[in-house]
Amino acid sequence: MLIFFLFLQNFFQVTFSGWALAPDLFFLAVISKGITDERHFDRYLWGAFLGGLFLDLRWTGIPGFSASIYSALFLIFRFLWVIIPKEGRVPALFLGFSSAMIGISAILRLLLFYSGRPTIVPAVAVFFFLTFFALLISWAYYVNFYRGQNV
Amino acid sequence: MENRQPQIISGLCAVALGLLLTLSTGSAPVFKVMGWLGAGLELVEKPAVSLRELYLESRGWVREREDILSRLDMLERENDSLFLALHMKEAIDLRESIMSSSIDSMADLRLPLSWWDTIRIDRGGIDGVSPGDPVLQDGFLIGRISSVETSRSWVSLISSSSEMIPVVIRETRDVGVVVGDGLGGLWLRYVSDGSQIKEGMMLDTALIGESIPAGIPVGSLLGETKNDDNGILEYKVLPGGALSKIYGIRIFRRGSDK
Repeated sequence: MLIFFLFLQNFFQVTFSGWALAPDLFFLAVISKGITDERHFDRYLWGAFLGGLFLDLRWTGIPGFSASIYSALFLIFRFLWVIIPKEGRVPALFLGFSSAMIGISAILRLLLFYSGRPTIVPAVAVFFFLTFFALLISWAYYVNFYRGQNV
Repeated sequence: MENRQPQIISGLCAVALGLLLTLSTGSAPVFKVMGWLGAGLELVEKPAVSLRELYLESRGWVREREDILSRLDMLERENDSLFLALHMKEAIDLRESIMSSSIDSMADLRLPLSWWDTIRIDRGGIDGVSPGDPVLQDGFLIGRISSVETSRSWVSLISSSSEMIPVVIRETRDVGVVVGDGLGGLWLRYVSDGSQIKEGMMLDTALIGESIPAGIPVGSLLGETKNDDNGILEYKVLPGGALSKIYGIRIFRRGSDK
């Protein structure tokens, strides 16, 4: 599933190339799956790393940049999440956490891609518009998972 | 409680490895790997490239169309301006021509029995008047010279049932014929069926034959219509000149124009 979202993000990035940034679909998939599957921490951590490395080699030209951002954010998200008792892991909190992580990742990517460019506003607007929909989908995925938890 | 130390170490290792890899930015092996990756993904990315090109082409087409439409609009305006300027020049030329080749005259006889048909004026052949010359009142056609004496002439009025004046509707450029009913009324006939005729439209003489110069105002259309005995639709015309009270008139001498 992570590979699918990685290629989907790459597809969007090719489509919007030179015009806007593609939303972080891959990272959103990593954190959505990573917190709902607590037994395979390493799989998602290194998945995030390799996915980030793939995107770096394809787009940013700075290998390890997205890889370290995704790894660090996933680590932070995961440990903040496990601190919270299971009863408190409501969908609204997931939405807040995932939005914050995506926001941090987005700010770093936007600073790298668009700092100093005059046409930043339309690119950022399109990026946030698409990211908003991606967040809603991931939230719906977590809602479905949360209902099945019987907490 | 779950021991999370290995996970933290693993996470920090990933971050550290990522940061270490950033040091290789710009190196030849990285460019090589990027090249391989780009080549490997070429086929996978083809639909996205096609989609992007389609979007760019569509946007270009829309912009080009907008540009063409705006240019067309501009050319239409320019064409209208040129058309107006051309016809203004024609109208000014005509006015100058009429002014220079016309003489003033007075009606000196109007018989009750032929009130709407003829009048006599105090200008004749000695003044250069000849049969067929148009007669104007306040710039509007009211008739034409029917017979000429030495110092008198007879004018056949457009309200006469024997007169038929070819006209053109100024706004639509439709052609018709104005006929008098012998009772002071004027009617426009023989206009094509598809004409968008409206009340208030102006009628000018048309360039049909050489008896009357084109472009002399005749009157305007009223809203009233009727069908004549043969079923032909007629439109009521309001004459520009006051046909019921004719005193001072102007004769356009076509002979002097030539």
